[in-house]
Amino acid sequence: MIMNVEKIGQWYGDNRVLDGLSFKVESGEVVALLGPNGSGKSTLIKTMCHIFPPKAGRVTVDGQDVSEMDPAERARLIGYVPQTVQYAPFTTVLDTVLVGRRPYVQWSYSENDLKVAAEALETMNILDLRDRYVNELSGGQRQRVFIARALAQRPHFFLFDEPTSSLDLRYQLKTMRIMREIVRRDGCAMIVAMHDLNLALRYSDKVLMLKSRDSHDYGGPDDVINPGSILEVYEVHSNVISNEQGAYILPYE
Amino acid sequence: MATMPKAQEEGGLRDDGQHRILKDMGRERGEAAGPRGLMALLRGERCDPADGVIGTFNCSIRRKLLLILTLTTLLVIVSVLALGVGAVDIPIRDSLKVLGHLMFPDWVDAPEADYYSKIIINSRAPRVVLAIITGISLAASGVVMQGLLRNPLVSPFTLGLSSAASCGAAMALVFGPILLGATYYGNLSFLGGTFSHKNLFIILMAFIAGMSSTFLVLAIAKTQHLAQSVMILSGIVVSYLFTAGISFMKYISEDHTLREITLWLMGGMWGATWSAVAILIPIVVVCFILMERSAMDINTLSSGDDVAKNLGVNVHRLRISGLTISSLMTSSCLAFTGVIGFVGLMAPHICKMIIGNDHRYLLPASALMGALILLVSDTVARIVMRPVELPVGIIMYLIGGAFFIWLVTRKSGRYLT
Repeated sequence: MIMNVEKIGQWYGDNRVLDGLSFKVESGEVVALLGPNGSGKSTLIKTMCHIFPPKAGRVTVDGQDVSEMDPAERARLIGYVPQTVQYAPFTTVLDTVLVGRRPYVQWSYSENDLKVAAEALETMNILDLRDRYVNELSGGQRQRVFIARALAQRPHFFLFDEPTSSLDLRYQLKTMRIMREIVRRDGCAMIVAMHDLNLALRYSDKVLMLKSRDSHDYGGPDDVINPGSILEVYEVHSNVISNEQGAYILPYE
Repeated sequence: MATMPKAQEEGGLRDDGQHRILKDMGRERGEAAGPRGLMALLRGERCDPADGVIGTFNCSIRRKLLLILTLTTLLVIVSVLALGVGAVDIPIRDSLKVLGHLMFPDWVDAPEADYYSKIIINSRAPRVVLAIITGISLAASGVVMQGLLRNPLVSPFTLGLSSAASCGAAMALVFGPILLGATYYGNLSFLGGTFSHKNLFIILMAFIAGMSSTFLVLAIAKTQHLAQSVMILSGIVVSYLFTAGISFMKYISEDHTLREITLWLMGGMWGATWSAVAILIPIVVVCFILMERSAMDINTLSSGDDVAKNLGVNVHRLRISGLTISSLMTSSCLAFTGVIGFVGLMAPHICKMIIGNDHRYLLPASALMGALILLVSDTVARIVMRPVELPVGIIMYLIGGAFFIWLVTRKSGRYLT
């Protein structure tokens, strides 16, 4: 399946955030979405999953306009993980993850829903926390709960807004690796907004770097992430250092 | 050759996403989770948290059902007891006989003292039923409002809906005779029952005022992105505005209207008549069913608006319709009972602590809990200074105020942000 973003525009009042941005994501790809603060990463993610309908242009999946889909059908196709998680007191981890099954369920969960939820919990290594309240957990555990919720939703396109922002080093790497494995195994796709250039370099197949509201770079990680583009976008000098684990970016002022 | 099965196996695993989604959808209509039958679940079959996710799930469902069953039983027991106590004590045997005779006249004899029947049927039973209905609507609305606005401190009372509905009722009492003339004192026959125009007008005005208060609070809080503290503060402010309205109504009203308004403000079950109950039951039943239908969508809201939207929920429509339904339900009850605070805050919280935040079960459990709290309080109000009856509103303020302080100062739980 191909998700095609066609010349989308998004603005709040007079503040144009996105202007005529186009690119496409194919099944089996992990796309890292990079850009400085305020460059529109979150806005792009939310526009693509129709939380904010695009003000101009359109998003299509295999030619079908996402805006015209039935909401439940869209929810089975596109899953979203927010940057900051919100939760209500006295909601258990299991209940939160089961909420991801909403697009498949009328009123009661089937055995299959529980199986899918169990799998998602296991994948994010939070099976033991299933009976705990979300508000009792640490920030990183909570973020894993929300990733598990998106996994339980079983969408074809995962849209993640900085999913690793409050995870420790181990889970940053692990989450990205697991997500890439899922993308490879199920032939789905993932678009993930992030700040960590090294994670992007290591785990993504393509990189979309937002430079300003009407210019961007899109291509392989090695082509897009280089000292020149980093200086242009982030105004920071950097070196690329390569060794047997791969290349990594060392920024300096 | 040896690689063939492996390739097939991988082929199965690598099944493209669309197929997998379709397969999932096909399986949805399959068997329901958990052991077969309600009784098996209540007996605790396959209900061990060590038994993986299914065990945990069954265990939590069992806990929810047990709470609902316990509350139902308690409510029935307390109702029967409440029928017996008051200015005249009626033995439980005789209360049961009255009820039995009412339902099965051929099998159960009426009690010997025939005034027992009259007291129960004409005076106490409608009062008990009104307390139950009002408790249900206040608590259910509290759950829905807390879920929709993701704010643990909102309830019909804290959002100013109670004062607004009373203000509407006061306006109806004062302006009704002027606006409607003789029609005000007339009756409407509908579905075999007779409803006074006065009561219908009061409900209408209470509803309009209640709705306007809810949306006024929302409009104020929306300027600050629905921040929890702003919402509570605007609830307080709006309730002051309507209190001013009530004071004005009292000031310009005549003596007998003044008394009616004053009784309203104290909040009591004096308005209990069978015709009041007949008006309220259909409203409450319909509203409750509509709430229960949206319970799954309210569950998605607990993860935030964006996640709910991504899951296919029309958040804006859900919020508007949910608030409209809960305002209708509470303001029509409050039109008969006056200001009753805190039930909508207490009942949901007690239930959430026991069974968590799944609105499919939280709604009925809280409704029953609310009914129980209000019925017990009203019964206490009737007997504490026998034969004088206290307004139940006073008791609810005392218990509810203490509960609110405990809720806000509680160390664990992190309620306010």
